[in-house]
Amino acid sequence: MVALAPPRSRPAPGRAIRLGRAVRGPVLRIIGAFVVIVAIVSITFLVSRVFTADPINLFVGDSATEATRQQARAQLGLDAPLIVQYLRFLGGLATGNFGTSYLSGEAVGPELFGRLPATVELGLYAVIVGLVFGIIVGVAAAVFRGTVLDAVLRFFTTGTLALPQFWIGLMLLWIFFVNLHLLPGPTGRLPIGMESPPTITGLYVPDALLHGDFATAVAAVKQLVLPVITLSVGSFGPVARQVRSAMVESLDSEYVRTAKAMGISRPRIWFGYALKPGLLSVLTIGAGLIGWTLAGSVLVEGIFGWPGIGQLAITAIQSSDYPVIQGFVLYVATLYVVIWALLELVYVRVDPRRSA
Amino acid sequence: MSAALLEVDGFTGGFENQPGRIDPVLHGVSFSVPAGSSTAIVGESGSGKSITALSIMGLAPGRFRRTAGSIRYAGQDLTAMTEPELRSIRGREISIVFQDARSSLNPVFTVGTQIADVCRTNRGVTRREARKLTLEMLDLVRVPESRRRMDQYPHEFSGGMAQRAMLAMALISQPKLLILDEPTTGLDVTIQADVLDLIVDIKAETGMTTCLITHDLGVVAETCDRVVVMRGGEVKEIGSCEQIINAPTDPYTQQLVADSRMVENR
Ligand SMILES: Nc1ncnc2c1ncn2[C@@H]1O[C@H](COP(=O)(O)OP(=O)(O)OP(=O)(O)O)[C@@H](O)[C@H]1O
Ligand SMILES: [Mg+2]
Repeated sequence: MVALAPPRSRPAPGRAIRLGRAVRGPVLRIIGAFVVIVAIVSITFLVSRVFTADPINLFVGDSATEATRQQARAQLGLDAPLIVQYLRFLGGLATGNFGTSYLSGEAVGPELFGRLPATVELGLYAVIVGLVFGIIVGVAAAVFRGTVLDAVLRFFTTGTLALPQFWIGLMLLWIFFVNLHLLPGPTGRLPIGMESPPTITGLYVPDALLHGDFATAVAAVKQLVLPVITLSVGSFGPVARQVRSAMVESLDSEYVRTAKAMGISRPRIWFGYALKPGLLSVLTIGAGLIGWTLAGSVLVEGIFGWPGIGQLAITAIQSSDYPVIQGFVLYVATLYVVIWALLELVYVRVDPRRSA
Repeated sequence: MSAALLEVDGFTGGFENQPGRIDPVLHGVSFSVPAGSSTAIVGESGSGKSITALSIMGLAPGRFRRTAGSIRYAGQDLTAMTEPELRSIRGREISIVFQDARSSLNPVFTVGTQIADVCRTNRGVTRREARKLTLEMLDLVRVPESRRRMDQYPHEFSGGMAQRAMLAMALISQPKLLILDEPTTGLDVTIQADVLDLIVDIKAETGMTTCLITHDLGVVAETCDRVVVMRGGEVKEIGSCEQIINAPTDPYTQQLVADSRMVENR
């Protein structure tokens, strides 16, 4: 036997270098995210100006003379060359000034943020409901694949994927409000005449509970039930389908066979040993759905009179309210960038093989 | 030697690869594993060793159908048991080490978590205690740096180490019968010898009954006292280790012994 020389140890990198390495990743990532957001907002700026109707009709009548129009344009700064407008817009963004809505005359920032809690409260609950039920139904369908239960669940899941959301919303209203009188009508976040709870989080249910105001909390929950169900249907179907197919694969795997051979309980196998390896693909879909839901749903907000961001956006687009459109796009772009960044972090936690 | 702990009796079955038609794989497999013995099942690839082992655990692949015979463990017929009854046997009474340890461990849980889970399920201890027992068990199966290793994932383990972890998992619920399905195939020769030594040591220490599946007669000579020779889904010969190696009666066994001598002398 030849004696091996002990491996020469490389000098450990200095602390400054190690710190540099640790910081470089996140910094690059933040810069990247920033570039993406600016690019998206810039494209929106150009596209909205080229392809939407002239917003000047909002300010002057149809019969206004060209001189009046020109004057209004100058007031809004729309007379300057596009490039100047664009630079002004970027300068505004840098100082946190998103402009003023043409329609309401209010600053865009507060207007958007004022509507955000309504959208977040609806979207958050809808995402949770959609993911939880999607996972449970997907797991059940996979575990009992080929049985009557699987067939029933598949029929149900396909139904939610095939039926248009507005139809589901209207049917729910027709059944539970019009016929059964079990739930309130589409009057927004609270019944008409009811005061909103003092703001802490902006979400009515936790705010009301934090103030010990159970009557308002219950009323807010009742208002939420139907829109939450309607909106959650959009994420339930895709999640259930993805969970089922990932689970079917891992239930047949050798590692699940090991867990069975060691006597591990069935719920632990289903929701742990079999679900977690397939969760990665579900997370990817889930992240997209979270973004989609929190961006505000025009249809669901419209049906239930929900004063959210989706309604604001659709009105802004219809009337070429540029500052609001841009503010909305900025919000959505930031939302997605943040969600995808968080997803990267979660990925590594869920699937250790990715960090290697 | 005392009474049989496990008795496989005329076990016959096959795969229903097309509906209504069963392609036979096992033909009246009969052998017994006396309590306290270390019995070996030897046979070439495809002779039905793994299917037999999985059938004992009640974990044969979905398309496998038993057509005749029984498997009795401590007098109870395993083939007649319901799933919940089988679950109470698996791990606690009979445990198994699978052929390919790396793919038999779950890729998204740490090795320590997986072993501790088995410990908690079968021994009803607290999370903390389970972790402690897991650490002890990893030391026992000689996983180096066990404290650090238990928080690693299977892909960070070498093949030999994964095999030891798998062994720790099977041992931690203190089963009475341990089935080892080719626990050393795919490992290089020195590690193979280490793992076999380890199994022999643990067996000597715990007095557990073992059933070692292998295609390598050399392994059998060192570790077992009884040998069951299988080929093409049938049992060809059963005997003591000395008898099989020194005076095999079945022509197939004779050839097997001659082949393994040739390998040894080369
Ligand atoms: N899932 C399956 N579907 C169909 N046939 C199978 C399946 N698994 C095994 N077989 C067949 O059953 C027979 C016995 O297989 P088994 O895995 O028990 O062999 P083995 O003795 O363990 O071989 P090895 O030493 O290669 O592990 C083989 O002929 C194989 O083709
Ligand atoms: Mg095998």
